[in-house]
This record gives sequence, structure tokens and C-alpha cells, in this order.
Amino acid sequence: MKKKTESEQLIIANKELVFQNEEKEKRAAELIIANKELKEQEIFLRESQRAAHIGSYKLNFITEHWQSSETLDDIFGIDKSYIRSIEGWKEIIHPDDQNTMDEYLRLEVIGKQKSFEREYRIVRINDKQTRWVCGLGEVKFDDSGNAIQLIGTIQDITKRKKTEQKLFESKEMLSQSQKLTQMGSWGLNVETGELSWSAEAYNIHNCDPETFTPTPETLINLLLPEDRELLSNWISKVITGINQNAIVYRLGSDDGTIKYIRGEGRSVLNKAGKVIRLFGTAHDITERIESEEKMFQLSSIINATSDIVGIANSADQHITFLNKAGREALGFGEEEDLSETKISDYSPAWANELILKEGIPAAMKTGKWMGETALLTKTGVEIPISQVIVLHSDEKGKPQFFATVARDITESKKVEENLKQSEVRFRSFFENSPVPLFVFDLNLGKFVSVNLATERLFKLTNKELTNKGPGDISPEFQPDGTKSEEKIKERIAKALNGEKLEFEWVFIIGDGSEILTETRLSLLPSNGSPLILASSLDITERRKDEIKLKRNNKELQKINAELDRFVYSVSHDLRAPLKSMLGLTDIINNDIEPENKEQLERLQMMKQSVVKLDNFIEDILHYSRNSRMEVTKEEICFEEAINDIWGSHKFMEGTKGLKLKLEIQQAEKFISDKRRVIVILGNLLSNAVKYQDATKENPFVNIMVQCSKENAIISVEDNGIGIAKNKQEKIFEMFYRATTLSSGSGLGMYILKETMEKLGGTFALESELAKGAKFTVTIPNQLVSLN
Amino acid sequence: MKFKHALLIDDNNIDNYITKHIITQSKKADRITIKNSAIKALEYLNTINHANEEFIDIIFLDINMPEMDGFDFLDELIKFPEEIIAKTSVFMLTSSDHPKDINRATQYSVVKKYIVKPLTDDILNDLK
Repeated sequence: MKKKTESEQLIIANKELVFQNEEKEKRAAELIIANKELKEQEIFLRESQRAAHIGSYKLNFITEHWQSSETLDDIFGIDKSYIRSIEGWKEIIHPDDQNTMDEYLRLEVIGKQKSFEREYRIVRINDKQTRWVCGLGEVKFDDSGNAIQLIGTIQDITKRKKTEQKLFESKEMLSQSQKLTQMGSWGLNVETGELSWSAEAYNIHNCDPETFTPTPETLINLLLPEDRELLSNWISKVITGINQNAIVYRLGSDDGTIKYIRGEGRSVLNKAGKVIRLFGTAHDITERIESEEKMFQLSSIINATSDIVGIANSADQHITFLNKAGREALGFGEEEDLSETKISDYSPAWANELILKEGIPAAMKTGKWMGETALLTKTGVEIPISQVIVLHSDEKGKPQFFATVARDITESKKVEENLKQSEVRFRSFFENSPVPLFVFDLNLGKFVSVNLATERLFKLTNKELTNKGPGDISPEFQPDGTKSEEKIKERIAKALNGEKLEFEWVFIIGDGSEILTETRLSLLPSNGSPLILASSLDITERRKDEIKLKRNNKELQKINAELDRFVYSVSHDLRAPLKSMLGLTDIINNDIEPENKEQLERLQMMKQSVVKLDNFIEDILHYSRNSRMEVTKEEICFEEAINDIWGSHKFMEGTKGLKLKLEIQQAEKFISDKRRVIVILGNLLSNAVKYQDATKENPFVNIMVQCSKENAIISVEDNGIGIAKNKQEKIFEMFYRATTLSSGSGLGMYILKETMEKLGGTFALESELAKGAKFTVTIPNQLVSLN
Repeated sequence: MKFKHALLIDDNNIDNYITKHIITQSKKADRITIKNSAIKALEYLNTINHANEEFIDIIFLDINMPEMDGFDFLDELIKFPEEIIAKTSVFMLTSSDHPKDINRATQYSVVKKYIVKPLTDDILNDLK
């Protein structure tokens, strides 16, 4: 900026000088004329010369002598004693200019009879200074055209020349510096509307000075259309003398790139306060804008990242920058001042030591350090981090600042810790497992880890085992006749496929004996060589037991079948004669005269005894069948089953006069073991029939069936003799009979209980002596399981 | 219903006596033949079949018999020509109420009824 104002001033000064010079030159010319006309007015002239610092002379070519005014003597540095000869004249002229001057005078001025007008250098006689002078003169010729004399003036223009030189230099400098800084300058003559540009201004605006005439209008047309009005407004404001901030406008180009130009302007006022000129600069700031954009992007990234980014001064380790993530992690507000914050305040002592002793020296040596350290938040919480420290040095290698990028690794630390723990747990589990576990490394072809249980199983030490593979501890053939080696290959291939295998395997153990094992294989996760985990359980004993068990089972089955046959034939053989007896008593009964009541009564008693014995045998059969036969599933129609039981000949006599009420609420089919359900129903009904209360007027049996998807609830209620409370528990015991009226075996309720257990049902009894009894059984419906 | 010719097959002579007595009393059959073994009964049926006599229309058959039991007999019986069998009904008359026996008997279409001994007037009257 400073440079610019100096340049401006120079320009102004330059212009003024030129102007002055012009004026002076005009005046000098006038003076020459006046000199010619008023030769005699020497005093006046002298005074004038002195005032104007212009010397005059008269050179006589014939006498080769010249006269000089006082001012000229002053310019030449001579006094009265100086020999004013041609030689003396020549001596004053700068040696480098003597020849050209001689040529100019002979050929141009004398030869072509022209006025003398030339700027040249002299060497002052008294102080030997080189001065620039401007000589003007006229040669007088005689009639034959020979030069007689030269009369002229000489003005010392050293100062002007120097200024000119300076101006030239400063112009050059300006131009060069404008080129370097990509800054152009311009001036606007408000009255004429003329716009002048520096060379760089053309460059910046992509214009050719040869073809482009800069005016405010042509300039505006170079801009992107959307920026044109902006610049136009800006110029008009600057013209009216309103100070304006810099403007940034954009130029497009054929290749699509956009140039950003920053313009600045200043108005120059005349004494009346009117703007006469505008000066200004145009600066190509495209690179700056682009790098600003990049900077902005970078800083956005740094502030958006979840990683902590910080910069610290390398000398005192004060934090100079901390991104958003960093501020959040340490507990700083977004705008909070960091200037008094040191790295060490926010690191636990151990981390600080690590950074100072290892991190920073390494960063200084190689430029970078990576490691795991920790941060300490404002509230004193330690956060483990993974950190990169980068050192920035100046050109001389002097450290400037440290930049660090850190990541919170609390979670991964936790995961790592958990992993470590689970590894330890697994290792401990592996080592201490009572199950023999061993790991086979496929590439090594050997076991790589074996636990204690494995050592015990194989009667081999860890060292012995880890030197072997599965083939070394297997017999040549497995019990099924296949080669062990082939089977091992096949199974390992399957395990590699991710299959979990379970098979029986015979091993040869340390003492040379064979053991039968149940062996499991599974693939272990591994980055390197495939690992297969094997576990082997010695089932030699178990197998023996199994064989024994099987044999026992077979024997039991045989015994069971025999028992079945035995029970069957016994029951048949026992019952057949009874049936015969019953048949015979019926026949006899029909043959006895009705009057012979005594005989009939005896016969009836005989029949009762036979029935009782038959029922007893039947009960035993029911019991033995229930305990041994499988539970079956089939549909049961309650109405049919109950009516069948009620109508069976066994009941015929007892049901006379007993009123049966049957109510069935059935929404679903009932599926259960038909025979067992009939045994249960039969027992309940037979009890109701057997233990009627003869004293009651309206003996009844109410049967209620409620059948749902889940179960059937069957209640049998009677108004019979009932069961005393203290006996209600006992009736379910084997051979227990609660009343002397009982003609049964005492097995009925026991069978009912046992049968209910087989069916998975429950039962309940409500009864009061002399009032009646209500049995309720709940039998699960197997409808669902059947489907 | 009245039968023309009833055949009783049972190794127990007392039961045969009882059954015959009940049937005779009820007058359900015109003629009653008794065989105390299934083999003899089969021979008898072969004889009347070859003689082109009128075939038996009702058989009361026991299950538990030596040498050839009731089911063996049924297996032979169903080998007789279909048109003969079609006119014949078999009533099982046995002291066994074992479910296995009942189930097995109902597999034969020729078996029309399973009666647990003893046969009584009531049961006989119920027969249709």
C-alpha cells in the first residue's frame, strides 16, 4: 500500500514537472527571441538569465572565440580567466558527447542551416561535475553561406534530467512491481472520460493494449454480467467523490475460469472541490480467493472431524489452536480463550512424560510421532487417545509449532480389554476343562495346543502330543473297517467347510491300548493357518454300559412280553370257568320254580360270588394293562362310551331305578386314549351304581361333560352314600375299601388314579357322607398334538 | 331273526352246553351243530360245502382253543367262496375282553358281533 501511494505521488510529481518543463521551455524560446531583438538590453538579460538560470553565449567562428554571460560561466564553472577558445569550448563538453556534438554542429546545424537545439552533458571546469544542459542557438551566415557566429542559450537541466531518470526508473519499477504483484493501476480523467491503464492493468483484464481502449464502459463490458451493475454503481459513486471501499469484480474467460479482481479508487479534487481525476488500482486476487476457499474448506474439515486437532507453540507448549472436537473433549467452550493453556495441563503425568521424552524428540528428529497417550479433561477425566504429533520448522530448521491429531480410543480400549479378558477366560476354560480339548494346526499337521484333560486321556505329555497329528494317535483301521488316514482327511475337509462334526473314533493312547471316543470337530476362527478344535470323550466305559443296558432292555422286553402273555392266559383261564359258571347259574335260575325262593336266593349268592371274582380279575387286568401299555390317541364319543358302559350287562341290575342324566357340551373333537378313558368312566359309573343310597327316593347319577380344545372336564355326581371326609384321601390307595358295602376289590379308585397319571389328567372329589359324591376328572385333549 | 343252522365252535364243552341251551330255549335256530375244535369245524364246513348242502348261516366262535384258535379258523373260513361267506355271520363268543382280541376280530368283515361270555337270553334277543 505504501509503495502504491509513493508511486502515485511520483506520477503526480512527474506530471507536474513535465508541465513545468513545458512552460519553461516556452519561456526560454521567447527569451531567445527577446535576446535577438534586445541585444543591447544586457542587464535586463543578465537578470533574466540569472532568474531563469539560463546562460547565453556568442561564438565567433572567424575569431574562434566565444563570449559568455555570467549565468553561463556559473553553469560551466569557469571564471573570466578561462580561455574562451574552440578548444576551451570542447573541453567543457562531456567526452562521451564531444563527437556527436561535433557531428551535429557540422552536419545538421551548419550543413543544413538549422537551429541548434540539443540536450547534452558537460563537465564543469571547477568541480568536474557532470551536468546536463539544454542548448538552443542560431547560426549566422554570411552572404556566401559561411557560418560566421553562433548565438545561443544554455540551461542547466541536470535536475530535470535526474527527475526524468528517477521518473523513468520509478515507472519501470512500478511496472515491474505491478507485474509481480499482479496489480495494475489506472487513472481517469473525469472531464474527458479518458481512462489510462498501466501495462499490468491490461494484463489483469486480459486485454491487448494495442487493440483495447479502456473506458469505464469497455471495462464494464469485460465483467461477468451479474457484476456489471455493481462496478458501474461503484464508479459513479467514486466519481461523485464518495469514498468507496474496495470492490471485487469478476472476469470470465473463454476457458471457463473466473478471475477475481479487487479494485480500489481515490478521487482527486481541484481547489473548487470538484473531482477532476480518479486514480486507482486493480489487483488480481484470484489466487488469494482460491486459497482462501481452500483454507475455508480445510478449516471446515478440521472443525467437522471427530478427531481432535490441536496446535501448540514449540517453545512454551502453549496451545494456540484447538478444533471443535478438541474443545468438546477437553471441556472448552467454542470461543473460550486458550492463550494461557499448556499441553501439560491437559495430559495426565504419564502421558505428558511420554510426549516430552519420546513424542517430541521423535517428532523433532523425523518430523512425526505416533503413539497412545491420554488427555485430561477440565473435570479430570482421563481419555485414552491415539495421537500423531507433527513438528513444523522454519526454513532454518528451527521448530515453530507442533500440530497434533488425536482420536478418542476409549471404546476401542474397552473392546481391547474385553477381548483380553475373554481370551484369558477362554484360555482358562480351555486349560481347566474336564473335557479333553486339543487344537490341530492344518498347515503344521500337528496339534498346537492341548489341555490337561487331553494329556490324561491320551496318557501323553503336552510335549509328546504337540509333536503329533491325528494320524499318529489312531490305529490303522477304525472299527468299521475304514482306514483311519482316509477318514481323517475326509472329516478335516468337512470341518474346514464349517461343518460341525460328531463321530466315534478309536485312538491309540500312550500305553498302547485303544480307546473309543466320541469326538467333535469344529473350525476355529484364525487369520493364519486353519485351526481345528477337537474334543474327545472316552466312551469306552459308556459303550460297555450301553451294551449292557441294551441287553438288559431286551431281557426286560422279553419278560414283559412273557408277563403279558401270562396275564392274558391267566385271566382267560381264570375267567373262562367263571363265565361258564355264570352261564350255568342263568340256566339253572330259569329252571328253578319261582316258588322255590330259597334255592333261587342261594343261586343268586353263588352268582354274586362269581361276578365279584370276575370283577376282581378284570380290575387286575386293567391295572396291569394301564401300567404297561402305550398311551394311544383316538377320537372318543362321550355319549356312545357312557351309554355303552351304562347299558353293559354288568350294570343291568344295579341301574334299575337309578336315574341317569347326561349332559355333554362339546365344541371340539375329543382325542385321548379310548380304552383308558373308558376304564376311568367305567370306574366312576360303577361306583355311582354300586354305592347308591337305597334309602333315598330318587337316586340319580348326573354326568356332565365339558369338552374344549384343551381338555375334557367330566363330572359324575350322585346322591349315594357318600364318602366320609377322613376317608376321601384313602380311597385312592391300593386295595382300600371305604365302606362295608363295598363288594369290590379296592382297586377301582387306585386304577383310576394311575390311569389319570398316564393321561396327564387331574381329578377332584367333593363328597359328604350320606349326601352323595361328585368326582370331577380333567383329561387333556390331545387334539393339538395329534395334528 | 331266526337262523337255519347254527354252528358252535368251542373247546369248552360246558360253554357249548350253555350256548346250545340258550339258543334252543330262545328258538332262534332250527338246527344246532357243535364242534369242540376249530379243525373239526373246518372239516365239517368243507364236507357240507362239497356235498352242496345248505351252508351254515351263523357261527358262534371261541378264540382261545388249542391247535387252531378262533383267528386261525377265521383265516381259513374267508377262503371259502365269497357267495357262501356272504350268507354267513360269525359271532365271537369268548371269555376274553382283551382289547387286542376285540380289535383283531373286528378286522374280519365276516365277524358281526363280539360277545363276552356268558351268552344270555338278553344278548341273544338283541341280535338282529
